[in-house]
Amino acid sequence: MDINKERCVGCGNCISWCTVGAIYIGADSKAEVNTDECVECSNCYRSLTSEGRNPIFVRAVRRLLGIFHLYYDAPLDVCPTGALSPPDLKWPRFVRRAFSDPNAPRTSAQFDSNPEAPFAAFGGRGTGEIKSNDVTGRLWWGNVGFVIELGRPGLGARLRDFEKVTQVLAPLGIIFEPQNPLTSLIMDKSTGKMDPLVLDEKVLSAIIEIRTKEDQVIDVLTALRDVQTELDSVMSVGIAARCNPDGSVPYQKAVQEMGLSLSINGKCNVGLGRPLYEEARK
Amino acid sequence: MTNTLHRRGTLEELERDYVVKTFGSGPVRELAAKKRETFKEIALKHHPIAGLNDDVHEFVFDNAATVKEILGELKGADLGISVTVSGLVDRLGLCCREVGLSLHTVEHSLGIMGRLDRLPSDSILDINSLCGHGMVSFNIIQKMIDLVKRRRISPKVAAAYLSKPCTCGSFNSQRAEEILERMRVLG
Repeated sequence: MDINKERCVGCGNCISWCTVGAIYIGADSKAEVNTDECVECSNCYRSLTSEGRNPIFVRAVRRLLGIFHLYYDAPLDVCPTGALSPPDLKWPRFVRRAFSDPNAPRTSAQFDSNPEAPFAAFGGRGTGEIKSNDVTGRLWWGNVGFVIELGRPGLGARLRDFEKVTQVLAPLGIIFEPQNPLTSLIMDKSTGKMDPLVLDEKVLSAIIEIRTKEDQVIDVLTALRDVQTELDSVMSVGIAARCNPDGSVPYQKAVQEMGLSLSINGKCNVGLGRPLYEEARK
Repeated sequence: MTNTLHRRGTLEELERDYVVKTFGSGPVRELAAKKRETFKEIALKHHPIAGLNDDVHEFVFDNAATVKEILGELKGADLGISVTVSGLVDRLGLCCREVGLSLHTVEHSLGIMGRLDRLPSDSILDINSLCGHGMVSFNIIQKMIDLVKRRRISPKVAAAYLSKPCTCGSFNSQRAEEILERMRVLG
């Protein structure tokens, strides 16, 4: 995010909205962005309504009020002068926006136009995973899917941390979901090695999405349990599968064996898509 | 996306938090626009508490009975588009059975791993989890909690502020308000 110092009046409203705490008031009493920490999510820009006031006028009014020991407490969701603007980003920094900003372009056009970028952006942080599984059959009986979202909740994560996880998963013979945008950053699927140019980039969160066999659930969970101590951030982990005919899930026992418990809530595909994968396959 | 997978809360709180969403895929996607409109009409008829943005096909409801009615109507409409519901899994299984459906695919959260020491309090995490993309920062939640505790703003107003960064429409302001009210009472 760019903050125009000529326009900023140092009200500090943008600080709290920043998803990763990258904005602060600098020595000149104006807002500054720690560009190394900023994930380019544009949350501050979107959440604050620009009042578009003249900064000279705003500063004069504030000084005048200060003389009388008064202070104007502006609404929390405005930028009085419209000092914020999302910058144009170059490779590899635009990876930050692709994963962190939910309003980033949903087509790959913006990314295809950059010849340096070996990055097929599908938009968003992951894929539809189970949302259309009734039609696509992407996750079928015998398979279990994992969604490992690094940086969530609320801390953000460097892609270097993602590589630590992909490198412990790859040797297990899992399948990285081909349509997942993060998968396109894994240069060697057999080792989990990622594009070295992106490793220092930070994102609000992104999802490592894998598919594996039912009997490998414990191996994957063991790998995640072991690698978590090497991370500088957090990861929210999800597990999914086609339900058994009795409505149960095939991974319950393995999860319990690992001393973990399934959440009482979850995401359920209720099988209303047509044609159903099993019918189409016939 | 794992948007609504990691929503946190007690059993009682999660009883008031269901997200119904449709998702066209593959060959269905191009044909699904009109069907999604019908989905939207059915959902809106049941007064969702969030997700009213024109562009989304994701709606939040505060009880399972309504979700059951919606699923029944969607089954009757036979739209042929995929529908997912996030909420209490056992309760949703029951809702499905009662309207002649069954859970096709289920995704569970296994919780958070890694640097848990860097995370804030449970109340802040509970509110943060209500936004599908995690856009409600820990700092703005903490700020709202402080303002509510000092009675500078009401929990309702604070919850409205907190819903602003959520662009996917899944933020349950009602639950956020309850959490803030609890924080206010506890002091």
